[in-house]
Amino acid sequence: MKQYIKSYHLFLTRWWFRGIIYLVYPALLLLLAGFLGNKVTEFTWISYEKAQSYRLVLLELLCSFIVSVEIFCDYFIFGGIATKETNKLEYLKTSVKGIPLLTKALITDGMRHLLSIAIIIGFGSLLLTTALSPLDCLLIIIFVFGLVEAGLIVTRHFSTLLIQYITLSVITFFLPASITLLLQKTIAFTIWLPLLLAIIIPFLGRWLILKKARNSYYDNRPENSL
Amino acid sequence: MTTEAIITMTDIQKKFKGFQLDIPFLQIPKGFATALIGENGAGKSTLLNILAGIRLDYKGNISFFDGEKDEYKIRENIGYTSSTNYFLPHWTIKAVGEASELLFDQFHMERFRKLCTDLGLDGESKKISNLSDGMRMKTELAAVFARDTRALLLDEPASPLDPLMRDRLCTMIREYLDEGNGEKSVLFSTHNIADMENVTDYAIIMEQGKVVEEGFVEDLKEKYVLVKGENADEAAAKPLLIGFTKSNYGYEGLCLSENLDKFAGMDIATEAPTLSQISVAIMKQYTQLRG
Repeated sequence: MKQYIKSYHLFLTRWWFRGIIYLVYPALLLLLAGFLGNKVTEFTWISYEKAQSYRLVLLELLCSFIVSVEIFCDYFIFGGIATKETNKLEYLKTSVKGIPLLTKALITDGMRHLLSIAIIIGFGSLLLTTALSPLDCLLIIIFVFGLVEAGLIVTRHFSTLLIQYITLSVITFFLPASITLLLQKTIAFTIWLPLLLAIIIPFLGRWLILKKARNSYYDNRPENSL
Repeated sequence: MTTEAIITMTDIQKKFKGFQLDIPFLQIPKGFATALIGENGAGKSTLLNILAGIRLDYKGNISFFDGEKDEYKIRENIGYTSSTNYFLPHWTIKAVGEASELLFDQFHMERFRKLCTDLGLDGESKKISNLSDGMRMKTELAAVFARDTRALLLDEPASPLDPLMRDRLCTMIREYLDEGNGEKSVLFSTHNIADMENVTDYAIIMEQGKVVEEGFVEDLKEKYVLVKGENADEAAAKPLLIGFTKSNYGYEGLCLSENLDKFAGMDIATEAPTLSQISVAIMKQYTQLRG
């Protein structure tokens, strides 16, 4: 485990940035959730149903923030790692431990995403006093995790921030409607699809980056590469 | 002189964007500093990349350290510095040390810190992308010299360095070789032949992907002789000379020592050439530069 964290920290080098990623950003989002949850409670006398739907909207807003922060911050961690300029990895490639180190860093990053998302959405939903069941909450966590990982597949293949903005815009545009649809559970695949995506997408993302890194040993694409 | 080889290359071929590296046989002598000399695009960096294991699409055989087959042992024993993007740009000097500790078992953090201090790399928190080319090369050198290796492959280490640091680099290379008692070797590419000459034992001159001359510097200095003469003999002397140049005061060029008697009857002066003069003259023979 220590090796995994050390490997990850080679990409997350600055201590203050680690502080932001590990503590400041989750804490800020939870504070925001607490504050907004309180505000909604003040208006519950209007209508219980309306207050509940406000709380859900706020949770969706929280999810949008999570996706935004995770994808934006990744620019400073693994930004453009799967671009053609993977010769940036030359030092790693001079050691037989280089590619395994990159693999460990990517796995740790995925685990960190899942943990952050689970904590923020889990506690956030409590602070917002939504009436979500644990299963609903789990579904949202998995769905948001899948979305973050899907966004990262795109953004890590480009070294420009513009792609981050475009990806974020697309994801955050569809996110609230997707969560609402997800929670209605009227269509069977709305439960299974997020689960499936959350499993497949992180593996796919890692596989693509590692494939690029391995292919960067070759000026011409190796004949046996996939 | 017969010597053992630390690296032996056989039938190395690599094609890339209109360039072809073609080396039928080449050995890097063990226990010496070998300079890889050639003009831009001659194939020096390509060859070093292949030897460092960061380019794998080549044909041919390379034998390291008396036929060692274990990839881990080979890579662990080779220190490589590059002239291009080497570290991740957002790494700091401290992160280079931490990365090296994870990547190489024979890396010594204390030695790295001392080398950083000695080389004037103050401030472990400085980002690699904010360092000058010279400082970046110093960081690379600190990282490879902080490891216990048997061979160093240095791609253009002198180019970004100031004259004082180049002198320091020569000392570091010489100390590294002395520590090894004939077991450690250094292969470096360079355009700064004059600055690196005092540390160069063996020279390999490459042009257009091929090795066109190689040998111990002392042997090369015996093989060639620098001939200077008056312009009156230019026509007769020119066909006998390599790297012929002319000025108002006369001509000069390099000639094979065995051909010196062909200058009989001409008013010439001879002297031992420097490695730089030998290299330039030979490169002129094969260059595709016009004029």
